[in-house]
Amino acid sequence: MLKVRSCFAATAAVCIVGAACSKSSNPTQPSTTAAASADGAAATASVTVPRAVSPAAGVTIRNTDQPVTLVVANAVVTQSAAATYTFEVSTDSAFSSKAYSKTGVAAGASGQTSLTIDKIPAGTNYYWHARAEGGGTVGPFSAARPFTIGPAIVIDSATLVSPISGAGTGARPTFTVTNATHSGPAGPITYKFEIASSSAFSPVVVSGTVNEGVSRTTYTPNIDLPPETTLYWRVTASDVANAVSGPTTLPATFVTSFAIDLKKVVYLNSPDVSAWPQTAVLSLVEQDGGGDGPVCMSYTDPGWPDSPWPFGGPDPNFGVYANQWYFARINGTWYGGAGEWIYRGASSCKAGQGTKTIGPDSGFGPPFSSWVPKVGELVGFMVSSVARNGPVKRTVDERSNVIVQPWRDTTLGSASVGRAK
Amino acid sequence: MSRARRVSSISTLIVVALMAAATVRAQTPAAEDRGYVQAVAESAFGNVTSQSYGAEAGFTVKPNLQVFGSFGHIGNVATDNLSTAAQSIAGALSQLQLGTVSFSVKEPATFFVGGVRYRFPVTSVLKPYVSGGLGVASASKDTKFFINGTDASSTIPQYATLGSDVSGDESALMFTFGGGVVWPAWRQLILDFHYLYGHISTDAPINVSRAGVGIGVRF
Repeated sequence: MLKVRSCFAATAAVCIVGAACSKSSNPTQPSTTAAASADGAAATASVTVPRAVSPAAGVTIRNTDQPVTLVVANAVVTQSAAATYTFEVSTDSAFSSKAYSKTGVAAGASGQTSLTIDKIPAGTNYYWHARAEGGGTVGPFSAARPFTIGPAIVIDSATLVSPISGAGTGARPTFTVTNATHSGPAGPITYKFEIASSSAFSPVVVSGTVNEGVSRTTYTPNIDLPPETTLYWRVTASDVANAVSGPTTLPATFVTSFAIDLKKVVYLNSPDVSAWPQTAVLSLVEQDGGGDGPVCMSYTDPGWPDSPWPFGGPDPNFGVYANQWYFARINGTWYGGAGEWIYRGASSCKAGQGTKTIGPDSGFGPPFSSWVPKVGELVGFMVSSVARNGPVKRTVDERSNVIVQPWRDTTLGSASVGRAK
Repeated sequence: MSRARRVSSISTLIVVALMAAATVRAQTPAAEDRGYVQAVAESAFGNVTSQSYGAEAGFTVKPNLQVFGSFGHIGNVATDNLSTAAQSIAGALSQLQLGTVSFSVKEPATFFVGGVRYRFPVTSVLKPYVSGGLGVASASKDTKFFINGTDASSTIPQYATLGSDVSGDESALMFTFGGGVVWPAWRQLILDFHYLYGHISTDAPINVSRAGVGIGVRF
């Protein structure tokens, strides 16, 4: 009997130990190989799905806002196991056509994990999802979340028209470009004009952004450019709404002409116009001092109001709205004054401004009244709203830019060109 | 009452019983029986309190020394680790969907242990003994999540992959030791009052104490 009992005991012990050595683990869902912890435990962790944060479902991202950053709220991984993340982007919700995938992204410390992906093709609908893994378990992917990368917008370079490279200009030249061509669903196109004293465009003397014109776009600075200076200009066309810019044009040069500092001018029979706003653009002055040679001024008329004409005549109530101005440097000092009256609808050419008549004309008084310009002498020209002192009342006190150019007199040898002749 | 205090109280009772039995130790031992078989009902004290039941048989192999085999089932041996993990997952589920999340955890264990029992040679009617055993236990983690009160087992996979820390079955070594007193209630009928400490070497180790009574026959 003792032998029987001993045999039973021995058999039981062997069975017990043998059974215990074959430990089995059968979690409800598959997981990867368990990782042993410090205390010998080998249980695999549980891993929840990370919560998608950004981009939001269905959002459209501008192509120019790429690269896209995917953000998830961290998943819960039990057992304090370290988590890594897998992000996938696909063109289909089943993720059979992946556009981007990355695994092993370390969990973010702030409760969120983000990944900035590579640029992906524009004009395409995508889905993205993410999953976490840690503690020997791979978690489920988050639900596929759609987003769209907006279409690509391409803007070409504008073409510089004027001033052409090397041209001379006034203090406020008008810059003109041929509009840039573009493709894609572009928004309003604007053009940034930059004028600088170096080809590196640092520093920029003045810049301005204007809306696109019809086939051509122009810009006129609102300040005087430095005189007698070689400057550079370039233009960049942009779709601000979509943050797309075309290539900046190659720079072109131009040279500003001599300019008169209006604050230092001695005004004769006229008000100081140095502070008057410049609302008109004088673009061309043609003159010939021979005889009563006319002075013709081409300018943009900003719509200065008429002022009644009080000096009688067949129609004493007709109006004048502007004056021509002349500036002469006499004995090192610039003198200036409002000259001929300009009538609306009449020619912008005024006679009586010949070499021998411009000084005495208009009642400037000395020393202008005895001034006789020499051929080649720099003379300034300008137009303004009614300005000459006298019974004709001033109106809005506005002016144009000043053009300074050499005095011409074909009778004294100047070339015979232009309308004034 | 905390688990530590319960174990301490039960241990004290057994020690007192053993000492009382020893004081009435007889000069001549009673005739040896060949063995016993009994059914057992117990309260189990681990991280949670539950019930345990089973059966045990023993054979006398030497005077005062028996080998025994014990088979039983403990209603719940869930550990703090299991509850903590389930709580973490439930918290995450609350963030992932709009419903109200609750959960339940349970870890029943079935065991078979074989060992030896030493019976102190006393003449009193109470027969004290100590025992130790080694065997195997199979614990099954039963974690359930509910969304708005409804079992969400079918939808959990879209929200989480449950690891073996909250799911699955696991078999591991188990050892026990403890003691008790056997009271021959009537003829061959015996009552076995006992306390046993048990340890199951699962991934998350389980410690469970059982105190109860066995009713059986000796032969």
